[in-house]
Amino acid sequence: MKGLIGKKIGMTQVFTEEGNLVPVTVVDVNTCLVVGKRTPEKDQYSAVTLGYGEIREKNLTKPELGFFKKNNAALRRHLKEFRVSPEEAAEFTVGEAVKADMFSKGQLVDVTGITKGRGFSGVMRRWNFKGSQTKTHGTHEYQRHPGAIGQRKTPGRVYPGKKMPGHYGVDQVTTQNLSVVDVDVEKGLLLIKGAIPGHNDGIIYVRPSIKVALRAQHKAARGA
Amino acid sequence: MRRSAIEYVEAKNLRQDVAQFRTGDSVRVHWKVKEGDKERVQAFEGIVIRKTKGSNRATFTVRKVSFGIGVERIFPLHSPRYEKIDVLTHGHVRRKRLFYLRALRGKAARVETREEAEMRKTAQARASSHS
Repeated sequence: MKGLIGKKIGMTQVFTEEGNLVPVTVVDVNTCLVVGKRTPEKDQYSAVTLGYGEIREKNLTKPELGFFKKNNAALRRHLKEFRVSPEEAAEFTVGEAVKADMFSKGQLVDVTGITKGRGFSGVMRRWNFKGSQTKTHGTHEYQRHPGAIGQRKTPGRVYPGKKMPGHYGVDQVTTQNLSVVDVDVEKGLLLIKGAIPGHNDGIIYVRPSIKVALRAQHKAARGA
Repeated sequence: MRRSAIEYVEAKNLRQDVAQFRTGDSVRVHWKVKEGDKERVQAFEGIVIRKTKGSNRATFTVRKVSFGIGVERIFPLHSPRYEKIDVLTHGHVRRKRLFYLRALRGKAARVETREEAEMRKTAQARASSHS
């Protein structure tokens, strides 16, 4: 599965060719390039390593620097392996830039990012509990509480996985089947319809939709 | 960097032939309506009661009273969906958002045009100088 590393720039709206106004997230993929490869002979699996974001030599550790030197690739801040078949891997050469034209207009993509941190959150924010349905009739200081968390003597314990307050956010989340509204190869920008995980300037991974691929696979298997 | 990329995306969406008008002006919006595979133009005429800013996200709200019922439509200022905007009259208003019109009916809901305001002011000035 091929992909790109990018940076979430922010959201805006654009008009489509039909004149519809759609919300889009602007993703920057400017400095994305192939910095290394994994081969079945050496690593028992096949993948390409992409790098994103420029970095100065003094900010890398020596082992990191050694990796870039060995592969003769430009220095990059963020690295990510994308598993591809050996045939697909042959399309990439180390040191070559990966452009936004990997994706086309209208294509469905999956976007992975780290969500915004919300700290220690209550059940209403974290699990969408409804909270108290009344502010009066004797209810006192209980508007955002979770209520009961179990039964009585049986089972006499709280079930594992019970939704309770706690740390929320800073999770890796993948939003599936977002459509690509526009691709600007020259400026290195992708416009993706709708919201994607994470804060502005956050690092994200864009891949072709896995559900579309699976559906095609399924269809081919049934047709054969 | 962040701003410039978004501004670049938005700038590509801007319409060059946007009509100049302000809140209080009467406008006629020639909106393109698609019916099946045919396209025709439908005019919506009324008073601009709100304009929102924001590059290609700018919108304006037009209010009219149709068969006794107030109708408001929000149009994106840079939408490719309208053919043109005719500015019929320029209104003389003191505020930027004319939501007070919603509570008014008939003659009270009119907006004074700039020419009318000019005439009224000169007449007032003349009357006060004579006394």
